[in-house]
Amino acid sequence: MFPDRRCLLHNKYSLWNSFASVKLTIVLLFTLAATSILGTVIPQQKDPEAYLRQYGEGVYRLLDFLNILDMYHSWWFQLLLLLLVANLVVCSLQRLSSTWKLVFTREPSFRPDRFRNLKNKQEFKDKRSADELLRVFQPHVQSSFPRTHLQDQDGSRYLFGEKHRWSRLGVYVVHLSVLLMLIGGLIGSLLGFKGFTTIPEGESVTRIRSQNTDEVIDLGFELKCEDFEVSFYDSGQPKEFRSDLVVLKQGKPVYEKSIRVNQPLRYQGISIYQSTYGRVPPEHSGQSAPEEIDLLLHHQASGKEYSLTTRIGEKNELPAGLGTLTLVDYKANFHLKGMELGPSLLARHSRPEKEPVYLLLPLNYPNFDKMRQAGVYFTVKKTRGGHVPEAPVEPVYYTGLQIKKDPGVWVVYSGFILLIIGCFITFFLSHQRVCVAVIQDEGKSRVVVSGLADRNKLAMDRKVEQLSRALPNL
Amino acid sequence: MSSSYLLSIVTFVYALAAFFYAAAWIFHKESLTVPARWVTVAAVLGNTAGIIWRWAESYQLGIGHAPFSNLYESLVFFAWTIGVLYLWLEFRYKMRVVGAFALTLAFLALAYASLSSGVGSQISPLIPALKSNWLMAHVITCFFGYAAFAVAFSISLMYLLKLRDREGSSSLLKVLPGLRTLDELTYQMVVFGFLFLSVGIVTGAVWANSAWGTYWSWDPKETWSLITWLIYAALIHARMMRGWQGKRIALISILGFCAVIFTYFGVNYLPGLHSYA
Ligand code: HEM
Repeated sequence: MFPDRRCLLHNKYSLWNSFASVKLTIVLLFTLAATSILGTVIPQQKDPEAYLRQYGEGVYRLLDFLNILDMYHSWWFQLLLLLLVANLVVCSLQRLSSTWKLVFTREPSFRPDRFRNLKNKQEFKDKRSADELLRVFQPHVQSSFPRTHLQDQDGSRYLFGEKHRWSRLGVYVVHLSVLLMLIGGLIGSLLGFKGFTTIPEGESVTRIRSQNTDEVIDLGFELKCEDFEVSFYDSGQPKEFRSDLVVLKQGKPVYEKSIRVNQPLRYQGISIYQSTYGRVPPEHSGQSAPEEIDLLLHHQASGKEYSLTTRIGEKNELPAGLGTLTLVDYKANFHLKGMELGPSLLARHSRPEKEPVYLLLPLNYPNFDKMRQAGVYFTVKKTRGGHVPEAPVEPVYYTGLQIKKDPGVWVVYSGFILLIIGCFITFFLSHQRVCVAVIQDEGKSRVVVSGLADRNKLAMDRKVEQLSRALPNL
Repeated sequence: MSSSYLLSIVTFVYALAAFFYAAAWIFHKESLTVPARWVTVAAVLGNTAGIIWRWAESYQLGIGHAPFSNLYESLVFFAWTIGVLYLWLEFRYKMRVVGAFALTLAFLALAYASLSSGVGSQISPLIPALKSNWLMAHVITCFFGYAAFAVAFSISLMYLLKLRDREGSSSLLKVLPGLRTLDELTYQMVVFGFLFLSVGIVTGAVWANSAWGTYWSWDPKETWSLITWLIYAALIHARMMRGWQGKRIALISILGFCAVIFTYFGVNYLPGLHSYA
């Protein structure tokens, strides 16, 4: 029974040990890097049709089976992250206690033998006695190594100096930050939601559809878009867009804010971002096409006028062999080369043996078609029915909003801050220790300076050199 | 005369500086490193002037914004960061051969910006999403990171060259600093780059969160910067293991720089949000 148990223990122990290994870390980091490439080459989360068109049936099935079409959320990618977390936690725990003891000890111990064989060792001789030397050396060493300590051992005297002992904890700060970022991401994906909605000016929403799960989510308040403005550069590129949003509860406004790209609204843990915008089609903005239209046809050669009454979509035979006219469309506000012409009809005029021509008949500019100088032109005399605005109207916009709740974002952000602080401590500070040994040698003092650093050893070498140049002149 | 004209002159000043450093190294003329240093200083000053001038020009056009918004501007800034970082390295470690490699990279970046037809140098207005201080912090820190990795790459190349000739039979390679110094310097540059790349990724995430509401969306540029970060994280850990020092570190540093280059240029051929830099 005993051997068995020992074997089990041993196995358990070695599993723990393999998770404590930095070799595993390197393998995991490289594996994560290599597999991440896949998702940048193969488009993610597209429609099956798009994949079928691009890759064909067989390859599509294979990629889908391996979860490569949404690989960053696949079980195997998450497993790799989980392994990294386990590796990180086990490894840090295993080392933390010894580092902790080292950093927070009251009486740091110095062992002269650790400094004896260092490559950066520098030596000089001095006539003064050991006592006198140490008395002048100590304040100087202390100015760059705040913690100093004198020690006698084996007939020699030692002056130790040390600084930034606590910087050894920087690594744990970095590792903690990685954990926080991953945990924050997990919180966000479990407890948060993300969706997109559009609100026409003057209207409001209370629910949105989740982007990932397609569920309907109740916001818990009413969100109204009072106004939307967009401005353009001369090139026609949008310069800035802004939505004036109001949060309502039981019909009463409780919070309002104008949001722009980069300036979201936040209310009760929900963030609302300006994402896109667009124009509301006229049938959704209380306008509609006229039902009946009276037109006049002017024939310039004969000076005659003919009147006709028609509807949109109807084909009309014109008198005097002038062909046919069809009203093809109605626009509540027609744009022509940057001009807003207001409500307009579009018509197709077909004449025998000629290419059909398309005409524009803006209701507010009756003689517009005359400018074509084509021998015949049409004017709109009257319209009946529908809802046609009197004058060119301001376009009605809708605002496109990204709505998100992510309770994990502050965990991720604290991870960000710790990552930067931790990296800074780890990379730019190091636990530096110097040892100035004074050895009595035939009436003279032999002074040996050497230094230890847990990182950035070149900087330590330079420090030792500087020190050994400065000390003899004190 | 315009800023882009000045910057195209600066391109050749960098080339001249690299040439002086290379000549000093190849012909064993230590004295040539003095003009080399001053030419480098001139190039960096000219580069600085070009960036500030371009900034002013954008205000004259009425679309004033910091010059970090498209590929051309980012290449110009990349060259500047390499120049500045190299001067600091020379001041700090007195290693001059690195100049021949690092300043060649600065020259290549600017030459690509000035001469390639694919890189437009016109100043264009900013789309709303790019108007953010986080974006500026993001671009600046990322490029300091990239520059540090570029210098680390140069030093790793020197390490591998030197390693092939341990007996010191080649007089060219004898001048190079010792293997231990090169190894240590590669690491110093890598950790410097790692810190800046981390800040760059973080500020980019904060910016994306303020503009779109998502701090991380796995778009190809983001993912590639993460891949780069992971490779260098692996390098940092690999150095703690015996047997992984020296040559393997140099190789990972070269691999990491390939990822940097792909993050920078290659990603533009993949679909995603980052249409520039
Ligand atoms: C993406 C994740 C990780 C990051 C960003 C990271 C970052 C770092 C950094 C910056 C250092 C300091 C290096 C130096 O001393 O110059 C470090 C050290 C270290 N890391 Fe990690 N690390 C990560 C994951 C891991 C994992 C999973 C392990 C698990 C074994 C690990 C084990 C260690 C160890 C043992 C050290 C040395 C600590 C010491 O000097 O006492 N790291 N890490």
